[in-house]
Amino acid sequence: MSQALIPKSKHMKRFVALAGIMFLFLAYSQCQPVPAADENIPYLMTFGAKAEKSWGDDDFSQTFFFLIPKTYTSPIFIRVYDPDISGIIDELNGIWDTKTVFSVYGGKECYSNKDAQETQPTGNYKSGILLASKTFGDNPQYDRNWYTFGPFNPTEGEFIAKFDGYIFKIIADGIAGDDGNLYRYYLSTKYDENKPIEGANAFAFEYSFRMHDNPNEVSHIYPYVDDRTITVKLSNFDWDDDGFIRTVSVARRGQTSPVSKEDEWVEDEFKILDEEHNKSLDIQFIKRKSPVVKNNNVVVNVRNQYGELLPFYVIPIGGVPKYNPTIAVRKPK
Amino acid sequence: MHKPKKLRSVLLMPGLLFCFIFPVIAQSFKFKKLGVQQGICHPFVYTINQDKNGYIWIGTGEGLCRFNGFEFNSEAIQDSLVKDVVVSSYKDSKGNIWFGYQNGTICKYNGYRFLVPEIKKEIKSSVTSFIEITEDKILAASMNDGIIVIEKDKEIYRYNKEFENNIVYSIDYSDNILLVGSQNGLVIYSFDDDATQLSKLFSVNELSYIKVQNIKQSKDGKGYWLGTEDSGVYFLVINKDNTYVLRKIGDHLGIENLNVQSVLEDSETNLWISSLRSGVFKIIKPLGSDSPDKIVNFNKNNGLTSNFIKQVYEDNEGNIWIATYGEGLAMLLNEAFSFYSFAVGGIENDISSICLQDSTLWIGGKEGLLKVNANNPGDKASFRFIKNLPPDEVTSLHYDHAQTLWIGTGKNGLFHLDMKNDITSKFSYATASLGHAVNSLAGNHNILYTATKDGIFYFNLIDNKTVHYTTNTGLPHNDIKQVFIDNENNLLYATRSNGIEEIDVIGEPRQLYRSGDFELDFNSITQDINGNIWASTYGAGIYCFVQDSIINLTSVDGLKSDYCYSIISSDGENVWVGHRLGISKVDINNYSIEIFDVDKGITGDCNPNAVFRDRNGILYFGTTEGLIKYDPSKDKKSEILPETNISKVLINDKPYDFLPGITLPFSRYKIRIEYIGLDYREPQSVSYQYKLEGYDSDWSDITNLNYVNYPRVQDGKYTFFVRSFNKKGLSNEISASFQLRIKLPFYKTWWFISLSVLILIITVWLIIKIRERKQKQLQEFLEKSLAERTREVVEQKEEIEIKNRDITDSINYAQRIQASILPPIRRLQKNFAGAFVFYQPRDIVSGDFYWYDRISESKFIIVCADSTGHGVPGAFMSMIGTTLIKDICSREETRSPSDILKSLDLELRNTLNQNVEAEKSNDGMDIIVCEIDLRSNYVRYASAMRPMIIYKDGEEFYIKGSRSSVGGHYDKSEKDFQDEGLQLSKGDLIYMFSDGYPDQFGGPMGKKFKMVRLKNLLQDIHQKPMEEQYNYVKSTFNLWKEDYPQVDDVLFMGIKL
Repeated sequence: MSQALIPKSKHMKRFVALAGIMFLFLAYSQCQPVPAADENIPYLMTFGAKAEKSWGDDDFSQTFFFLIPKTYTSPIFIRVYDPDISGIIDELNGIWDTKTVFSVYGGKECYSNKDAQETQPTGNYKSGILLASKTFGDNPQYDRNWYTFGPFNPTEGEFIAKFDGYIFKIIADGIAGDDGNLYRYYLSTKYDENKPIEGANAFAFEYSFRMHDNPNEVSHIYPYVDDRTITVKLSNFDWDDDGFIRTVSVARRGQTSPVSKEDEWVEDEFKILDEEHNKSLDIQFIKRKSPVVKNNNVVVNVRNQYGELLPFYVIPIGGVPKYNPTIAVRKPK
Repeated sequence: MHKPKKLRSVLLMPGLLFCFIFPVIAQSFKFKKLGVQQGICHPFVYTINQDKNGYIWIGTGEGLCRFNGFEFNSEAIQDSLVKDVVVSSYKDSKGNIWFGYQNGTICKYNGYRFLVPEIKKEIKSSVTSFIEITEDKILAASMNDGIIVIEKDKEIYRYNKEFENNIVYSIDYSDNILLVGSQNGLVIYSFDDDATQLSKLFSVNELSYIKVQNIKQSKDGKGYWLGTEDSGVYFLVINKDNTYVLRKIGDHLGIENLNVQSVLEDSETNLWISSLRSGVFKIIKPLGSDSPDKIVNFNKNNGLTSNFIKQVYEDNEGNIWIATYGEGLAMLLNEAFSFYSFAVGGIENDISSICLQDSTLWIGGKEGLLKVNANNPGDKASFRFIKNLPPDEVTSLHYDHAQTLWIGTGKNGLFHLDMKNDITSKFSYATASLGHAVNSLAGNHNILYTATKDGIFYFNLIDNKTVHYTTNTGLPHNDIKQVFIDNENNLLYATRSNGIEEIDVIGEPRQLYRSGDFELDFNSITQDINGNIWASTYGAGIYCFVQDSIINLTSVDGLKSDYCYSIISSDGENVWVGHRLGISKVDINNYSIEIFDVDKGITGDCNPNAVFRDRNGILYFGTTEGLIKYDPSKDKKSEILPETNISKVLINDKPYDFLPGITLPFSRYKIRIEYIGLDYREPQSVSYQYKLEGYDSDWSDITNLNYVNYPRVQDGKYTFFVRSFNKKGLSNEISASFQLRIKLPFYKTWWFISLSVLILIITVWLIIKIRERKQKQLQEFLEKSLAERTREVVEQKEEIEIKNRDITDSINYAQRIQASILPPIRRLQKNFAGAFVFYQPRDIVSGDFYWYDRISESKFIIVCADSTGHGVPGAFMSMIGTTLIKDICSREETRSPSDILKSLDLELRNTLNQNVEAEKSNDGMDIIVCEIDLRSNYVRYASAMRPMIIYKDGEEFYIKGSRSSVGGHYDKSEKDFQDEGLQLSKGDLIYMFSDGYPDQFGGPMGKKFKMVRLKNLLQDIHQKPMEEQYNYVKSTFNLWKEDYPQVDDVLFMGIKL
């Protein structure tokens, strides 16, 4: 069904429903380590521009959005853990020659620009007003340490009415070298400590991250499924055939999807059940027990039937989905 | 060192017992906080500037707002300007302020309105910096859209390529060199004034990959301050050969890795660094050697509202404004005041006494004594608390020349701390408990004076002599609040008294200064630099004792309160007085008073005599909220006068744009004008004076109201002037003004007046012309009428003349007739020796007449009559009379003159029917009848009201005649005419005449001739010949009458026997 055929009243209902959910989510969520604890993802990953894509990063760029509720009026900070390219966390290829630029954007179109909501760093994906930028290379000062962007005035973000809040964007671009930069974010109220902002959240349309080396660890992402979604297409890149991907929802017990091998994209499309609308899916990345794959970097995104990317909220909207089995009651013969 | 024997050591603990503890101490600075509660439009302040009118402009997260010292106003901003984040501002040489927005907007405020320059291509990134390169040329740096050259409010060029893939944060320009600070360091370009050539000279290698966020040329123009992200501040000197020297500022001072948002070199060349995360740093003499005492960090721990600072700005008054990121605006209050809190047990910020010994500051509290570093009282490391004192208030401290600190307590007497030997001991002296309640200490060489509640103790520390002064020895009161040693080593003390007392050189108490008849609670004494003694009281203000006068200053004179707790003189020309919640600063020359209270950050009560002045003139005040340190060398004495602005003009409650002047149609208007004098340090102290020229005759009285109402303003040209005064009463010579013109009503306009005058002139001219015309017509009519009348008159005249001539002819003829009936004069002359008759009718014919005749041989009758009336009627009467007399005289029975008169009377009345009552004719005649016997010359006569004069032998006889005339009123009674007789002789004279002669008016005075004059005349002439007499009588009459009209007929007869 095309969007044009949806009656206006339905649009309105959807908007109200979404707004209600966003309200609940903003009211109860507390951002915000990125990746969040529920995701169990060790690090985000961005390689230098000279790196091979087969090493796990398809575009050497990663974009995240931070959502600040309108009611929050104090300075905010975006902290980056281990932003430099050195030490034991990052992935060395030859010498430490990689430079990564972290840039924070706010203002008009920092989120609403279509290019900003795409997976590839093309077009005007750096839309908005550049608020801060920092280039990191081999700088031990920030190895296993935090670098803080900010403070930022929340109103410097782009106000998005449907979220009832301001959105900031942070882009990590690997501009030089071929090493892999592994890092994490934290949206904080403090410059020098991680103190979550009440009601804030973070999301991305594509995840580039490092898998756990421990085969017992399961990582998650939580794409949000709105009521326009009929089917979704789950794409994963450079999975190295490391285990399998399973989707769990309130109505789905555990649906596996094919995983990619080295330097390839694999897609899996499946239908969305009615119960899954306006909720999050739990896409689990379950590592192979043997042989153990280490330093596996993957890229994941999910699109709906219109080709639109579904946002992965670090704090899943509606909470982490739990499968609710339906118990069939048979009539006695 | 010798100690008195009475100094028995009472060691509570062996040795000096300092206990190092971990107190909560802090130095704090006072800021005026202007946040959301105070009305700022947004708490995130990015930039501050001051316009040419003196207003403070603030760029915030939601646009611009303006501050006037009292309130923020975002209404002043043009509606067309978006409420976006204002990230930068710059004031050019003309006073215009340029604002740069995060969304790329650029606008200029010229002090009157906002202008948005024409930009060729939209700027989509933040406008981070501006710089003026020539008078009309401004460079605006944007983060991603290059550097824009703006000339006369239009973009004329943009440098894009040079800054591709780079983010520009700051620029500066001088001497054709452009410095561009970017994400990747600092690049120097050559750049001519025309802004047509931009070529890279070199990069500062040391700053590669360091974000240079702010560039400011130093005040002396020798270099540039560079603020960097996470690398602190640098100073760059560019040599002429394009080499450079880069110096890191404040290395090893903890500011090496500051995220510097901006730098400011203030008017005293101190460097202010705004940092994100670490607050503000002030570096004194930043290019000197780095030392910790030259840097001051203002941060959240010592009073600043935030550690995230975007900019520090110094306004025209020298005030330091701080743009905080998230907490609004802050203004650093007087930096001369430092505030220290000591949350230490025993002190707890309630400081009772202070004493300085070299670099050690001793602070006495309610239950103990603290030792701190005087140079940095907030320095925790130097903080020690003396525990071996009893838990009592340390009320006073005194450091003597023997390096002993004397400690006075509230209940436990005196203690001394031997600094040399680190011994703390109780100093014992014999007294009752009140004597151990120490209020104050003062010393002089080896003498220690102790003021207690039981008088004064004098201790000689050499010979151990002790003297106890109480009321028994002459003190006015035993509770001595303070002992004070003046410049001449005299001991003065403050107590309840009617003056300041002293103990003189021989040790006797006496009164030094008398304040008046009433006792006052004097509690503190000081001496100013002129040697004058000042004293504070509890309830009556302060007193200054000058040689021959006493000055009392109270709250009426501006003192904070009449209740004072301490007084101390500064090294300068001030005396400071401690009160609750404030301090008064008194100028010793003009007695003006400045108050420092809550507004200036003083939140505690000054404790009694808890004041101290060190050798450098720094004052210390102990309060219930900690220690206040006042360093006069840091006290900014700005003499900037308040900038006066008219803020609003309401006409009939409607706001008007007044700057271009206001022109209104004719009516009566209610006008309200609001104005403000911008004084950010003490906005409440500004006062105003205004004048509406054309309405007010002179400047108004000085008022604190910042508005004025004019209820009824009518047509005219007005200019409103307002000037503001600072607290010293000084004002800018230039006042703010605007012009108001209320148009004249049409009837007051020049054209209407001119037209009216013209119409009036024309009207008058027309009226004149019409009148002239009418007059002419009237004149013609009158002339015509006159001609007709004249003709008529002429005709009538001619007719009258004819008639008159006829009448005259008739009368003349009648005269001939009358004359013909009068007897000829020859008859008289024939019968007498001489005779004359002067007969002169008034109107040709006469009422007077005469008759004479010889009626017998010897008798001659002469009649002289004057009929009533004259002219024709008189002539008729004379005719009747003549006829009747002639007839009567011819009768036989007529025997005497009286018979003639009787008969004449009877017949005359019969003739004129005068006996008939209905007829009321009173016609008659006065007549005299004279009968002369020609032989005997006996004269018999009868007269009816006519006199007669006879000269007998030269003697005059005046004959009056009877009182009845002939004819006249009808009277039944018989008239009585008597005959009288007189024997005359030859030569005697008889004169008879009518009343026309004596009644004639004339002469020089216009009077009657009268009988007297007539008698005199006759007296003169009676001896002359009769002919001469006639001429004389005639000429005399005519001469007398001269030009006067003849009043009556004249008849004068003279007969000489």
